[in-house]
Amino acid sequence: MGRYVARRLLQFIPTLIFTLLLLHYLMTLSLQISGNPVASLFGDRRPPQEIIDTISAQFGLNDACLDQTGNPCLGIFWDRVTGYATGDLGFSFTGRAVTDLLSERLPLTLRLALIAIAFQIVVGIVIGVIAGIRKDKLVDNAVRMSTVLLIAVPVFVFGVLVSLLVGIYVGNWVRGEWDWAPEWVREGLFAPIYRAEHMWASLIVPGFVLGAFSLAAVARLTRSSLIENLRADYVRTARAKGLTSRRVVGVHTLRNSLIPVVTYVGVSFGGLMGGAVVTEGIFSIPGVGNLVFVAVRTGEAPIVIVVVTLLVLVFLIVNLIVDIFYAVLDPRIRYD
Amino acid sequence: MRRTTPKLLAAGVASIALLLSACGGDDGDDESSTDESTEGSDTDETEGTEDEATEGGGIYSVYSAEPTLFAPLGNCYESVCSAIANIVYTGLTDADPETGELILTGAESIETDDSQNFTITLKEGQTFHDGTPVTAASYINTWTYNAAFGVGTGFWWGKVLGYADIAGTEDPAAVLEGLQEVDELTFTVALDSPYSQFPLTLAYTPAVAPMADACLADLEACNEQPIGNGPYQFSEAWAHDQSITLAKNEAYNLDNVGNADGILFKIYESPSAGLRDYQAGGVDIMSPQPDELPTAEAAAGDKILRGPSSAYTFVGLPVYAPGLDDVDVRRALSMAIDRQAIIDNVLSGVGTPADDSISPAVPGYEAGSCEYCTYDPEAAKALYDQSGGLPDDTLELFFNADAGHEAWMEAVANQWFNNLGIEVKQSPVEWADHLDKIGVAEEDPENAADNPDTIKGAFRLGWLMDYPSPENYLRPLYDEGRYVAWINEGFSAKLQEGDALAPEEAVAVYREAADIVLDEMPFIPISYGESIRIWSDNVTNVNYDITKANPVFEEIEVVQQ
Repeated sequence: MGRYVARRLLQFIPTLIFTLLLLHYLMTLSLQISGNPVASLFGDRRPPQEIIDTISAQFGLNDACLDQTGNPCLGIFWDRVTGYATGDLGFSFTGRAVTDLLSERLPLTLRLALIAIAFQIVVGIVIGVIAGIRKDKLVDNAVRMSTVLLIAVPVFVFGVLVSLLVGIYVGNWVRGEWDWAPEWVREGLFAPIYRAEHMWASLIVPGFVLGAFSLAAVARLTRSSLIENLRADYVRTARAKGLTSRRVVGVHTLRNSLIPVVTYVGVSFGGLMGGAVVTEGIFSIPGVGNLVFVAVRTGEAPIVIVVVTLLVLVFLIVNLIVDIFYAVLDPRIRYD
Repeated sequence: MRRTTPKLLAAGVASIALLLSACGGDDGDDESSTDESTEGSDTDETEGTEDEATEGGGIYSVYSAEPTLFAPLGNCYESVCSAIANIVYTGLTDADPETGELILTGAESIETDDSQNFTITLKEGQTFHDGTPVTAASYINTWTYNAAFGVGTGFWWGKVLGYADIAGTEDPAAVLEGLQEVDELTFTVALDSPYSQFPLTLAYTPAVAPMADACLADLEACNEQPIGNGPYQFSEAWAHDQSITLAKNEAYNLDNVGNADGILFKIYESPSAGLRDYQAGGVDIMSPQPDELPTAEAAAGDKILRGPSSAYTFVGLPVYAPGLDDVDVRRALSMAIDRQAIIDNVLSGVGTPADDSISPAVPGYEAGSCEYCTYDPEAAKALYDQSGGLPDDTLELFFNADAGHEAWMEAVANQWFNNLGIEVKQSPVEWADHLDKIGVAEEDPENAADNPDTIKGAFRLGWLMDYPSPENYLRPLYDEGRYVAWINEGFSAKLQEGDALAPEEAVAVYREAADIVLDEMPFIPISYGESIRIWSDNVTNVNYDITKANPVFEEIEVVQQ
């Protein structure tokens, strides 16, 4: 097991280097094609050339290779990577260190993702199990219909709807009527957007929105996997032994049914990071999703490269954990 | 030179404000006294009342995006940042929102005999928020720094004698020759040529306001917690992406003292999130986007203010391009555009059709002065047919993508096709690329036609004024072959004539220059912008300042409940 993990961790290194290189090349190419982003900092005015030159120099955008479309600018890449080695991640156009931006914003995005995953796993598996053991009953039909709905509605529509419903229609009523409710419920949980002063409470609804799509998928996966396994021989044996239904489902069947679910949760983490861009925008959460979204448009290469690489790293780690989890769930899987 | 893209400025949050304000009791117990109860000091809240004379107090909140940066202040030119800088700093002059006339703020007097050498005297007793006095040297040091270090608005001092010697040198010891200290409160400014609008240019706070010595010594710290000299001060460091908390500056000795005890600028990631927060009572003053206007109107009722902004949108017609070199073609193109229809149907009814080459925000504007801006498809078609026309009756139309221009550009293209029979090829490009492309021709206007890099079609551009003078539209947009290589001796002469006159007399001369543009039509005026603000029950006395395109934050009062 230890050797397996070590080997996987070593594989991270070439993956990350390749990611950096690819991102660097794409950002360089976009600068080469769409022109010096400094000019667009001034809105509709063209500032005097000397000011553009001074600012470009400050951000290392005056390199001649940025004028040669297709040139990978490996010199800039080398400077960048050696900068990373010394802890210098570069600066945004507003002069803020990318390290500062990350330390402010990454924790929020991770919290949001954590809540989304918690929803996805806990709620998704629970309703999946309920639907599975009551196959074709009313509950099952309700679960199947609602999950299809969640999967079908795009997150940017769903998010705005939830924000309006929970934050304004229900929220305003709650704020008006529930005088007894604590502050974090009235101004946090039922806020239409993220509120820094009620951080966790106001992240619950956005976390649900972010996790909704995967939640529905997890529920359906759990349901079908459970139904399949309930027909297996070992379940019949367990029942024949006289085990309670709770034990048959909860311990034996569920554990075996979770393998595809866990795989999906790991893969969906990538989608979660993409969904965070949208969710953070809707709920005004100052996380990395919105940061990178804006940075792509303004051409702030240092931010895009660092943030996306970090997200890749998080994705790799999560999937390593998923792989380890296989062995826990299914003793037949061994990594040595 | 504010950035136009993030158009939304400030707006504010109510409930939070109440929580933060000194009177932190439980709100919402009685809804009775909503009117501006002059609250006779009976049963006053806790410590909210400093003096009975001003019925101020309270804190209100304002919608904002994340500003760029506050130090050096000269880089704080985009609209979000300058909205805050305008109340944290006080410069030398201001312009009357109604008439555009010069008002002295930090300056006691600005005197000149020749519109070239100015003597500026400061009002006594002004201090920075750290207690140090505002002196002539504060201004000289700040302006010199901005010029020498290539700060975004450093070119503000481009007309000051000796600017070229120090611009961009990044020399901390640089001396700007045209600025001379006379005594602690007086300094002189020498320009390299007469320029009557100079005192008006001083109304642009981000470029002009002084930075404290402590600020110039440590810009990084000053960016996080600026040391201004205005009616409000940063009471705590900038909480990036969250909020900026301002408190009233009790030591402020000029006229525009703030009414409220504090202002909380809440920073949102998107305007639609801000609007939803407004609906939930989370922010007091909000700037809705045009496409969300119906929601905003429904939510705000009569607490809405729509005022003209200085934003001016136009389409440039490169006069060197084949076909467009014919003035009749340019006039026909303008007459074939139904501006009101575009505003109503594509721009959610926000904005007004442009009918002048300068904006209603400046003196000298005359409604309807653009003869060829009136929609008249028949006349346009007739004029186009009798002219040489465009080669193959095709025209390329350039604009920047991803900024919401696609829809109305397409409408323009359709109207040209329907009314004139012109095939329009739309070419959306990246913003930086767009600016690069349209900037090629002005570098060598004489040979623009033969230069393969210049664009040979129409293009979109916009402008926000920096100081309330017609000259601030005419010179940056139309003079010296700007963008479209249109060079007109009469126009340039009028501008120079105006520069040498006193500001009041200059307006009429600039007006004549504006009419030359309208006759020659190298640029087609399209629309003027409109600012929209909505506010909550918690605030009152919300007035619009057209020159700053913002509410007058100092005047806003918090309703004491």
